[in-house]
Amino acid sequence: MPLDSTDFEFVSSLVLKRSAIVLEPEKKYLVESRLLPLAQREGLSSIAELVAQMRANSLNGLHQKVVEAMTTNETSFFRDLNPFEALRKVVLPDMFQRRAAERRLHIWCGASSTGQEPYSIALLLREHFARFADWKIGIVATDLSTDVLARARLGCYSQLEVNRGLPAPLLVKYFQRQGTEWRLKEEVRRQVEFRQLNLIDGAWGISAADIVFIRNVLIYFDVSTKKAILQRIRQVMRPDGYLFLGGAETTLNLDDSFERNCFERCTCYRLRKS
Amino acid sequence: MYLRLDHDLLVRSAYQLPPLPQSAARLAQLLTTEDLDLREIISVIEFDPSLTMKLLRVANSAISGSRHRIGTVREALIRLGTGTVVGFVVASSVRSLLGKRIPGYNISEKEFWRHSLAAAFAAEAIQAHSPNWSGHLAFTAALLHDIGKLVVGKFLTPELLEWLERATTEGKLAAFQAEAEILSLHHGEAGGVIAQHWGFPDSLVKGIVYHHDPENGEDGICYVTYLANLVAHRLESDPREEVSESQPTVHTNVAPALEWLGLDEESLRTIRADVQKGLQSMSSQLD
Repeated sequence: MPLDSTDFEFVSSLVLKRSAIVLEPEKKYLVESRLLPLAQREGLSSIAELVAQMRANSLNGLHQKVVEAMTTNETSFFRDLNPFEALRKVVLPDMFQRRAAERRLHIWCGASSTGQEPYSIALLLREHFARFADWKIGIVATDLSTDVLARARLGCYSQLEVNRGLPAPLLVKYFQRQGTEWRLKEEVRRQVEFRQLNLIDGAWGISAADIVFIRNVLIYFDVSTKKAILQRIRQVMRPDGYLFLGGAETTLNLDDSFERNCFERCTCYRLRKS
Repeated sequence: MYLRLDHDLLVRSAYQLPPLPQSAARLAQLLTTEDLDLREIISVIEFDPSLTMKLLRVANSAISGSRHRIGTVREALIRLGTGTVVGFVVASSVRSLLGKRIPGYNISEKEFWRHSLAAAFAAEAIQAHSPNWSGHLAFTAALLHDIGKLVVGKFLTPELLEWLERATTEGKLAAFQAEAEILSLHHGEAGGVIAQHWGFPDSLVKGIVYHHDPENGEDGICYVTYLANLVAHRLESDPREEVSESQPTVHTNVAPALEWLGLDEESLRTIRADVQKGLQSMSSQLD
C-alpha cells in the first residue's frame, strides 16, 4: 500500500528533527523502501501501522530505528577523509607536543560501529607518528551493539569494505588475506580496545580523553538528549582536548562550552577557556 | 519481501567468476610502468599460441582498410598501440564469461559488448587528445568499466528492480545513484572487486570503481573512464546520459572532467568520430 501523505510528513519531520536530513516529497519511495522491511521485522503489516505505533507512543526505540533506517549510517575506513587530515596535520602534532611530559594519549571513538574508524586512527598513528611508538597511546572504541562490537574485534573486512576508503598500500601492509576477506594484523587490532557503551544510559567508564570521535550518532537523538550527551562528553574530555562530530552535527545552540575550530575542510570542537 | 542486498554474498559471487588467464593480469601489470618493456609484453602474449592467433585476427580486423596485414605480435603492438592490444587480450578472455543476456539489467551480450568497446575506443581517443593524461591502461579500464553489472545483476530481484526504477523516475536519480541509494553499493564498486579478483593493478581497479564519480577516485584514469562512458552513451543516444559542456543535465556535468583532461567540446566531437571509426572496424567482431 503506498505511503499516505500525512504519514510521509510525520516520518520526514522526525528525520529532519533528528538528523537534519531533508526528505523531499519525491523521496516517498525511499521511505517506503527503507521502512517496509523495518515494519515487517517489527511484526507490523504496513508502514501506516508503523507510523501509528510511533504516534501512539512517545519517543521510544522505534523512533530511533526509523531514523537509523532512513539515514543509512554507512561506515568506512577514513570516512570523509577531512577529519583524518586534520588529525594528521594539526590535532595529533599539537597533542604530542602538549603531552610531551606525560607521554600518554587517550583517544575515544564513541560510535565505532564495525571498527573502521578506530582502526583508521590506529593506522594513521602507525603510518605518520611511528616515532611516538613508545608512548602509551590508548584507543578505546565503544558502541551500543554487541553484534557490531564482535565484528569490530574480529577486524575482518570484505573486499568491498576495504575498497571503501582504505589506501591500497595500507591494505597490503597491515592486512592478511583470510579466504575472501581481509583481516587486520594482530599488532593493529590490539591497539584498539572495544567496549560496549550506551551513550544515554549508565556509566561510560571513559575519562581524561584527549581526542574524542563521536561522529554521526548525535543525529539520532532529540535536543535534550544531545545536550545531555555533550555535557557528559565535556566531563570526560581533558580541557585542551579535541572533539570531532559528524558533518551534519554541531554543538551550536546545544552546548556553549564548546567552540568551533576549522582546519581546512574540517570542523572540530574544543572547550572554551573559562 | 527481501529488500536488502547481501554484500557478502555479492563479493563471494564476484570471487566465483572464473579466473582470467595469468597473462591478462601480467600484461596489465606491465602497462603500469611508464617505460614499457615491449619485449616482455611480446613474450607474455607469444607464450600462449591460441591467444596470439586470436590477437592477430582481431588486430587485422581493426585495420581492415589497410593493405598491409599484421603478421606478428610486435607489429600489432606498434600499429595499434600497446594499451589497445592488451585490451583486446583481456577482452578475448572476458567475453567468454558473458551469457546471452546480462540478468537484472536486461541488456543483451551484444549490447553490453558494443557499449564496452565504444567506451574503450573513446578512452583510447581521450588519451590521444588529452595533454594532461597519459597512461596505458585506459583502454582496458574503459572496456571493463561495467563488468560489475555481471555480478550485481544476479541479485536484482523484481522487488529491488522496482525500487531502483522508482528511484530513477520519482527520485530523478541517475541509475548508479539509484543503486547506491537502494543497494548501498553500485556496479562500479562491484566491478572493482571483480578486477581485484582477476589480479589487475590498482589504477585499473580505480578506473572501474569510479567511472561514475571520478572526483572520488583521486586518479586521472577515473576521469578517462567517466568521459569514455559518457561518450559511448552519447553514441547510443541514451538521452539520460547526454554529454554537453554547455548544457549540463541533472546527472552529468562533464565540465570538470573536460577541464581535468584539458579537453573541450571540439575535442569531444573528434573523439566521437574516432570511436565510430573504431567500432566500424570491429563490427565483424561484434557478432
